[in-house]
Amino acid sequence: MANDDIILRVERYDPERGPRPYAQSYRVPVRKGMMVLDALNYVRDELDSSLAFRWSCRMGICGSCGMMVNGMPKLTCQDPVDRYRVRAIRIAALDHFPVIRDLVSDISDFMEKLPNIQPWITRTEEKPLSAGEYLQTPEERALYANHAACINCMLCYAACPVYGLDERFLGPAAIALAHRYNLDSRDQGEALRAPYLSLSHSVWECTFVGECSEVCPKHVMPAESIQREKLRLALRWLLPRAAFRRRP
Amino acid sequence: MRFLERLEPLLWALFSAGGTIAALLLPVHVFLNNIAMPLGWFRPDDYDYTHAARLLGHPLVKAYLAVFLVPTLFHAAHRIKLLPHELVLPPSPGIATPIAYLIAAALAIAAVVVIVLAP
Repeated sequence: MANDDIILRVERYDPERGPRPYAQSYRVPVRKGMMVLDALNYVRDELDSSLAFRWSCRMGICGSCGMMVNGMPKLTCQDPVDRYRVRAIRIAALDHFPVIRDLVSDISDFMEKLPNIQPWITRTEEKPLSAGEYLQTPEERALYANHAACINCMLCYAACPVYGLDERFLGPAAIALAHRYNLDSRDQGEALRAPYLSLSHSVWECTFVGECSEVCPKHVMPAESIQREKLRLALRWLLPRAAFRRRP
Repeated sequence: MRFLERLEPLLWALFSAGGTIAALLLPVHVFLNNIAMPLGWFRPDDYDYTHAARLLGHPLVKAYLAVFLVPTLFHAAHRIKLLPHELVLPPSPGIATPIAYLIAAALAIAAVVVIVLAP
């Protein structure tokens, strides 16, 4: 074995082959600056074209290539192989999601929950076109900017022990996204999001373990968003309605 | 259960307030009652029964004790509800949560009654 080879130990699953996952190892020559995703692409191009995994942009923006690398949720296109100072790297599909095949997870649970938080700008009163755009100051934008960086890579769901125990939990990325729109000065939809966010399997299930923020490749800080959203919902419950009227 | 679900924002607010109060004030009380007093760092008559009872007669002290105890009890109930999650066990059966909150509510009422009726 060449000195700069690594072993990828991939947890594979093929429903047509049998109901149990199985491990398969591949030897990959390391190139300078190689990411885990590059190693997987080497396997598929050169060693085993049957290995299934998702990827698209290779620059940490499409959010497709999330996998468990040595037990941690990682965006594999941003994860250099040389940071693992061991010869063998274990790769598996993201935790807490059903596996379709090999490293491909089924994230339909998240996709079904997502529209409930209305992750888009909602207006209760529209300005006439002649009034121009809905302008925003740099300060107003800065309020939600880091929450808007979410790429839906699902690493936070794979890291969340609460979601792992109870899949009814709405989960980190969805709540962070609701928080992002609630903070947007152009949005007036907080009252529409509140009933769904107040359900017991929405924000309240979170026990603030904080792993979601630890693994987030875009530093969205979902754990912080969830606690802030809890506080907003509690105040909305305790204070009179008038305190929450948005300026037009 | 639907009823508890509607109360969730209030229960979380009590949990959150109770956690903050317990973290800030409990160490002070532990220090005073369990360290300073047994070690005799106070003059004996500063901390005897009559002095403590007279202190409890003041409305501000009564209010302080109610604010200290009630949210802390609901904090404890919420922690018990979350305990299975934190021990990475399956969620507790549905009945455990209302029981935890009922015990907290009963203890909170008892605490307030004792505080109000105290001399």
